[in-house]
Amino acid sequence: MDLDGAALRGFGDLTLALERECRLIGELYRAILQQREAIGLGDVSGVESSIRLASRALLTLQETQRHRATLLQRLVGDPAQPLADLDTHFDAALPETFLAARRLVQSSAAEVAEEIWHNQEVLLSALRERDALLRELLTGSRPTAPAGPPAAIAEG
Amino acid sequence: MSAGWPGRSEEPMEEPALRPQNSRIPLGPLDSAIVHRARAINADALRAIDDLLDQISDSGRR
Repeated sequence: MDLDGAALRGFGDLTLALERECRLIGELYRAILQQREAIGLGDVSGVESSIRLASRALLTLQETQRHRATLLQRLVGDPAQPLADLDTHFDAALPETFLAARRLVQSSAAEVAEEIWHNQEVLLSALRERDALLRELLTGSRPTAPAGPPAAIAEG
Repeated sequence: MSAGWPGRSEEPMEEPALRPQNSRIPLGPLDSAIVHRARAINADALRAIDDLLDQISDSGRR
């Protein structure tokens, strides 16, 4: 396929969509960091606020992805076309701005996924510690969970 | 002021073993409901990001 004027315009639109997705991933990233900080502080409203921010970023991200699918349908006739294989449809090299936006979305997405995993671990660990503490308070016995007690208890 | 009977504070009894003053109860004032909500939205976010990475990578077509 030729990289003609229509295709170039298509890539321009696709690049804008990717840049928007990147900004939304940034919003999600900030929400995740806010959530972690609020958990550490025991700040209920901070956690609530982070949940709202993350929900909003996710909803808008899904909208943007639907828009990107429409653009891909227009450009190559397939809304599910993987972006990494787009060059197989064209004879010429793809526009550098598009390639840069694609790289940025990929690295930002990988980065935010790591941060989310980290939060999930922090939250799960806090829940387990809380359960163990409640069990200890109610039964007077130390939990038999494989994980050791928090350092402060061990020292006490 | 100690809880218990009158004169409790004068009794030479040791307080029951408590956690050190600086020991934080895990989660502090956060109840488990909000923690579960945070985990749920994080799980949604992970799915969305996984989907996005699938769409961008060349191994994404399922």
